[in-house]
Amino acid sequence: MRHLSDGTLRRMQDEPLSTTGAEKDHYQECAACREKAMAIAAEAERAGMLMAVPESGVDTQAALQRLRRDADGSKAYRRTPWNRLAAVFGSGGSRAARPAAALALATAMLVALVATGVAENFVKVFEPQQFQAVQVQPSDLKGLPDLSQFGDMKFTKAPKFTPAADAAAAQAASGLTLKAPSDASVPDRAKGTPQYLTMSQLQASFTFSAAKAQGWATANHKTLPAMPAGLDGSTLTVTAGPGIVAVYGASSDAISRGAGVANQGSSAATRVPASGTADPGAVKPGAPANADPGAGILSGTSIPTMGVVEMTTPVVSSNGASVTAIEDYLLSLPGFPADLAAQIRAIGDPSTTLPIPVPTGQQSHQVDINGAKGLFVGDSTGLGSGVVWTKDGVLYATVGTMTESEVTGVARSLH
Amino acid sequence: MEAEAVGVNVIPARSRQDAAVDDRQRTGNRLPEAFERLFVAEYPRVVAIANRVLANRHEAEEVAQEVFLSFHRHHDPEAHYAAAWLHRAAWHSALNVIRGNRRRVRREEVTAPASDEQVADPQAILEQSEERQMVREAMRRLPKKSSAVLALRYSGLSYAEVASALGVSIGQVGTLLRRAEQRLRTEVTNATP
Repeated sequence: MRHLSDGTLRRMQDEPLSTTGAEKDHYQECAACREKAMAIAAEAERAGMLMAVPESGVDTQAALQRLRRDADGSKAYRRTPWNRLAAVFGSGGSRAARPAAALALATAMLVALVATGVAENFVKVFEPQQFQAVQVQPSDLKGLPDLSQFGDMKFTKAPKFTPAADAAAAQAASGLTLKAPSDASVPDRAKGTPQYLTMSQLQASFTFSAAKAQGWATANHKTLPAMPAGLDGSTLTVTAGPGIVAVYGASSDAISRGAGVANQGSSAATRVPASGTADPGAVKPGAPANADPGAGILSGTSIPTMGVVEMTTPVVSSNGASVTAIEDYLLSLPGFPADLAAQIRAIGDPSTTLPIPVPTGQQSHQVDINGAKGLFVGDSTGLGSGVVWTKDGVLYATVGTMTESEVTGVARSLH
Repeated sequence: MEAEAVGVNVIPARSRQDAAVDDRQRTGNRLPEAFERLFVAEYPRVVAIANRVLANRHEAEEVAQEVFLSFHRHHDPEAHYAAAWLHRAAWHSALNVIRGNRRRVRREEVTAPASDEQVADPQAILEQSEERQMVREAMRRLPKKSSAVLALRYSGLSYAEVASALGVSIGQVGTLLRRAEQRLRTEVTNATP
């Protein structure tokens, strides 16, 4: 066995029970490691003295009372699907989950923009054929306008997440032809039988309301841009899925829990009262924190090693406003970061290119996936990366705690 | 008042409203239960983390208030990442304080020992205060990850909690900590006259 690393020796000082049997055996037999451990312990003791500060109890109740006063009247967090996705995507999410959360966030943007029960007079205004990264500061997302204040959103079909016993069952449930990665492309740490989760079709609509938007603006002392002619009352519909997620490196229990959390979220977000309207933000008090389709699965305590997503490409339709008018209006809303708006406008193709928000500091670039234009998002360490592309009306994504070469290798091997 | 005058245990509606207003003014409205639970569970540790960076209990409590207020506005108190977010924010906000208010704070540190110390030996107090100031300066100059791992670990977080706050694997924490301790010693040694 090789000598124990400095990190292992350091942790032995603080958490000796974390040491494995092999490490303990080596430590007992290796004078060099024991000598190094003594030096590390001495350094740690010195640091402990330097870092020491007078300890005394804090008055938590008094501090809480002060916070109650300070928070009085300030706007508290609201549990909307957008907020929860943004939280996973932003500083609250693990780095490994961010690329996948970016994809989920992009899908949420679609949902926020669009449609249900596509009527005859609905015209398809958006179907992603390629993807373009837009750099965002996670803090920017917190300032984004809440779309539910600018119209009425309805979910007519809640996506239902169901574990499938095997690939054949997943295909039967979704109607999709499952593509699997080659064994050679799957990293050793992700090898094994994957777990499958199917997602039923999602349908949602969003109807712009000038009166609701103005009510929000008046209450918040904001000045809104003029709503383009024809936008008031115009309805967008979005359909997405069905889909299959193949998860590598996760237990079946974890999949079942993920499906449960996601379904709780989608049912809470899509409860349709007798009147036929639903409030997507009306999540029950006490509902799980990660009650978003996608986010619930992605933000569990253990991140699976790899996931392969396959779903019918989302489509957005409109019964009135053009996609250009919609984009112009949304990007000019107060609170929408100017830099982000400029990046989205620069894409210049609102009908077929989906902007994927990428946190500053993460890498992104176009990659070729067997002739299809894909977008890679991730970091250089292999802590988290993903690729998304579409082909023949199906959206694919591979995500995981993998390096770029691994994640693109898996993507190119799907067959 | 009116209730006292008539000597009965019935408070007129107007007085009840006044009492409610007084109570709100005194304590503020209660915050969501989940948030208050989180506050009670994490406030001492958030203060401890900020205090490891600032070496100033009063400033640490100010930072803790800001951190919780920001969390209250932007995050779900039941989010799985709540504790990790608070821990990281405590360190980061405290670091911003020493980076922004270095000159003012130095004056306060040297001239005013922390109020919760037992004043016994003025010379010892002065030396301790100077050493804390050196450590505080070192925390400001250290690479961010080194500063963070020191603040988090020495405020009592486990390796798993430090890993969660920093978004790294548990296996990396020992390495980061070892490196940070070496850097801290170098910084303090170099700063010692």
